[in-house]
Amino acid sequence: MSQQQMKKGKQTGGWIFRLLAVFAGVASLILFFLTREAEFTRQMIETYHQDIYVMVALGIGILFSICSLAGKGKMSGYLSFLAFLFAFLNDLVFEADYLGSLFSSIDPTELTAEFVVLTALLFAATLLAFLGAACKPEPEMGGGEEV
Amino acid sequence: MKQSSAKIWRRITVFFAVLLVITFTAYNAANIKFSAIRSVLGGETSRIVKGEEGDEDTEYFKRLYTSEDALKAYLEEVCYDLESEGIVLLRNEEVDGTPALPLAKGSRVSLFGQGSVVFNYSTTGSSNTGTNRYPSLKDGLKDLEVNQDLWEFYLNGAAASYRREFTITNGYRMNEAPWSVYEQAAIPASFAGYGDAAIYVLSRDSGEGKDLTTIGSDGEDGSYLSLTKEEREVLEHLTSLKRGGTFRKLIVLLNSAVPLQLDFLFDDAIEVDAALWVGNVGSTGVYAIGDVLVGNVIPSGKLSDTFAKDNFSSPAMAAWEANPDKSFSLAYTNAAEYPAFSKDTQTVYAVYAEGIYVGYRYYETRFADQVMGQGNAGNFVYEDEVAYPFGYGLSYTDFWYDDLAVVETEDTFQVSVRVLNAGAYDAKEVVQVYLQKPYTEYDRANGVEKSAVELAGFAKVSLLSGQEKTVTIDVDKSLLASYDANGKGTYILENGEYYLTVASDAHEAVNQILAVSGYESEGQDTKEAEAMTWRYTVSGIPGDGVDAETFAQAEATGNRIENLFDFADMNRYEGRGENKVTYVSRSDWEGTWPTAPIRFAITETMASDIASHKPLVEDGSVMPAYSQDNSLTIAMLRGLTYTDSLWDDLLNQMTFEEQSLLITNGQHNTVVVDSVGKPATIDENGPNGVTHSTTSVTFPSEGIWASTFNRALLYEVGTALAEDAVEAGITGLYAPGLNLHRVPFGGRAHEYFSEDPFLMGICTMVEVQGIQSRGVWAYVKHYAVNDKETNRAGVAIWLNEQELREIVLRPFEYAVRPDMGNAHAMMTSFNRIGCVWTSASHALMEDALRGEWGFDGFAITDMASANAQTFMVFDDGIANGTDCFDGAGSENALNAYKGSAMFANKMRESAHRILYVTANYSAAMNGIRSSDRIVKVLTWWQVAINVAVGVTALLTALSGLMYVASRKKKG
Repeated sequence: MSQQQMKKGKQTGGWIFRLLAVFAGVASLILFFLTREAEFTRQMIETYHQDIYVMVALGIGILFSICSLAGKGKMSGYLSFLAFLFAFLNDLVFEADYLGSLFSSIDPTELTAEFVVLTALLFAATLLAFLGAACKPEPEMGGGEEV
Repeated sequence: MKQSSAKIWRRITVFFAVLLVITFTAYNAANIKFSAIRSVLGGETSRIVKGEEGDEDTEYFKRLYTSEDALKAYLEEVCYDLESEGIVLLRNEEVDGTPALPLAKGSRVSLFGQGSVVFNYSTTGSSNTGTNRYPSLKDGLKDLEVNQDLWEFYLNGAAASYRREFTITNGYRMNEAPWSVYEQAAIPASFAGYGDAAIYVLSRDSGEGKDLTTIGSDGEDGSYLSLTKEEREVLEHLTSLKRGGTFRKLIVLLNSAVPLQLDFLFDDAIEVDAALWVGNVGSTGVYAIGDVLVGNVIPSGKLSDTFAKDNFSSPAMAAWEANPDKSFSLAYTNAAEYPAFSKDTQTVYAVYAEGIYVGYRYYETRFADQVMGQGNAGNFVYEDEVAYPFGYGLSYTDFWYDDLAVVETEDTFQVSVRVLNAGAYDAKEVVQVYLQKPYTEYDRANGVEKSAVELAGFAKVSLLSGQEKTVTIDVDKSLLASYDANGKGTYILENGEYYLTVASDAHEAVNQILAVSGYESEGQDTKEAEAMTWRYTVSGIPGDGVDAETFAQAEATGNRIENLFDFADMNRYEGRGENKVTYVSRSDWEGTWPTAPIRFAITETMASDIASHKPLVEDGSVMPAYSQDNSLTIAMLRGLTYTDSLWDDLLNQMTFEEQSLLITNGQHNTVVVDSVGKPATIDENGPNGVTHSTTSVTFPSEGIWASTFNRALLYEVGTALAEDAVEAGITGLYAPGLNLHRVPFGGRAHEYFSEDPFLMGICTMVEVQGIQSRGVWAYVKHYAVNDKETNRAGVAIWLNEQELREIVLRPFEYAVRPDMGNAHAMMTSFNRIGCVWTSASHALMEDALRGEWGFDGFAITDMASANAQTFMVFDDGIANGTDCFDGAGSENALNAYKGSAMFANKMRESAHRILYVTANYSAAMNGIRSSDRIVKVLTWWQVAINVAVGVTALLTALSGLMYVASRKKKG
């Protein structure tokens, strides 16, 4: 495989990762918005506004992902990754009471499909954004301008 | 290939930014879940800044034990004493002319059953302690020789692959090894050398969060509390071996906090010579078992619950059994029409159709009615229902009673009786006094129910062999009253015959009263019955013969007692619509017996009552003052009355935000308030032992405590718990548990005392006194009607006011009344009473708790960070008298209510209560003088996280700058 082909492959792979990261981020945001009010989350919402943290981080992550997709600089990919990472970790904090109940097994709390899917989506968005950023060609290779 | 410096700096920047995201998330989590993390990692949150020197004695609460080793030894001794006195000898048949127990020291015995090696010491949830270091049952039988092959067979051999399953999600199963496994492993060959006795250990778990399974387990009837096929098989083989001479005796140990179904003890195919109920035994209880088996300790426990032959035979269980899947609760029939209500916490309910007929109150009353031929008692056969009655328990010695005398005083009946220890052993005996009240025409017409007997007094006496003592027991006259919700709306006293009888158990009490009333019952000797029974006639009450005044004033406060809980009785609730309940009545047992599910539909009024966030109605109060500089600390106000005006001045120093944090952030602590010199306090579970203590000592299940019938010992347990707590820096204990053993299947029965409210009330009264004597708050819990676990979050309990007052609430009343337990803290429950969350019930939290019983403390919710957050809301709770939330609140948590003067004053009152209790009743005040100041400090782990955030932020910024610089340089 020639060096040019490798570059092209890397470029294409990175673009797909960034595109998928946008989809995963948007899906996460929608699912989080729809399921955030649950048995375990009132205090997190009313007292700590932790849901806002997660949604704002997701929004920023999506925005930077789109910028990155549009070829707006290498750092936008990493910023999207960092925002998604923040959203992922803070969603775990948001679900701390649920997770506590799940693992302490005091009440018969079971793993819900919503939680599994949302966690998987957030993780996927984070991972894809990282891969998208890591695979993005350097500016000198013609991949866009750094911000 | 050499990388550009920009590329390197970019990667470094991203790396540190990732660390920053992680550490900032940790910082965020530490803020939100501060209390929960602190309960695991520890750390001081406040420190004392010393003021002027003075001669104040600031050791407000003194401890007996300051050495951890001495403390542990003391606690283990108390545990041993509890188990020694709580073990109940249920059966002791003669074998070859002598009683099966005690065994001769040095006897060679074989221990059977998975329970022998996986013994129950403690359990899950708030009773969770590290039991793996506790001595084994074999260790406890130090005066006996134990079959080692059999022990290994269970521990590591073929039987080890069969183990109890006790998981909330997968249910509860015994999985006992079948007899074929014994034979395949050639275990029977070992029996001959250890044939003095076969000891079978039947163990059953119980745990927080889920009731014991009534279906789907491997018990013969599908429940977890009946024998499994394999257990029966083994017991039958052991019976055959005994009959064949391999074993001399067959002994059963019931190692369970909950009552197993004991029909098998009366089965011809199983020949048990001796049976002991040992409960969950705590840290050192196995030694007590060993000592009871060989006679070092003479059993003196009496059953604190009825042990049935059929665990589904009570009316409460009949209602449960009638429900689909034999479930405790049902969904409202039209729940689907209310999609806004959470399915799990707002649309399920249960009905206490049994009224007052809980435990022996049912069995003994129906028996009495069957004997008297009244009340449509049907084909009730007592001996088919009850294995061992409430109050029952054998000894290795005999006690004779005579010379009953009763002296009436203004408030009590002084019952005295002479007790003789006629046997060969020095021993203790429980003297029990039972009361019968007349069941009148007025009662029948107004739905007032009367138990055939109820425990009214008891005492434990220690007697040497041949010694006699006269025991005097005070019976409070208020016990003569009954609650009449439908007629007079208060406690009533009626014309009629009342009986006080001294008996060995509830069943003997009924038989004695029946005998003196002219009925022939189970061969009861009338003369003996008359010698132990005293008749008291109330007459002269004019009109309908009902006195609705004498007992209508609350003893603690003098306030008028009247119906408070119509909203919890579907038949009296104004929003009932077409819903109605048939309560079990002794006027027609068969006709009122629960035979079908009691279906309710949500009405519009109910929907409104179920909904959270009720409107806050202003009451004309004005906004309180905040942030004043009055230079007061709570140490200065120690000893002042609650209503002293200086408390107002002190409260004026606090900010709204401080009050908010104090009230909402009560998860296992109360927070430091430096503006008023309040130190942080730490609270912990639990009823059976202090979790996170330094000693890890656990006491037996509370049913065993109650079976001791020993007030002095339970006071000692209270002090022991408190000593253990204070050693670990804990000054609040989420204990004792005061919910009811309403049915055998309650998952948390190990934390509760009994089916009898009087026994529970006395037990908790003395325990609380003991706990608080060391400056530890006893959060009596769970207030109220939290007698089940499955669906506990939000389930609506419907019951009538007579059961509520006479059965459910009485232990709480005894716990908190200033003239009784005087508890200064209370924990509410997850469930609802009627449609209303208990913490949001003004009737419970203010009218009864404070208005009638004179509670002077503060009330905290159950775990507010659990799955009930949709209805355990701050506004509903605080507005109705709840003072603190066992959750993760903040200074801003109550900002939404800042505009309400009524709410602000409720917050202030809650803060007042917490501060008052801290100042006067907490060992956390030890060492704090009136001139000292309290300042907040960060815990070590908060400091670590803050440093990590700072460092990673700095490194991210620096590397980012380097990246930008390298880009510019490159450009």
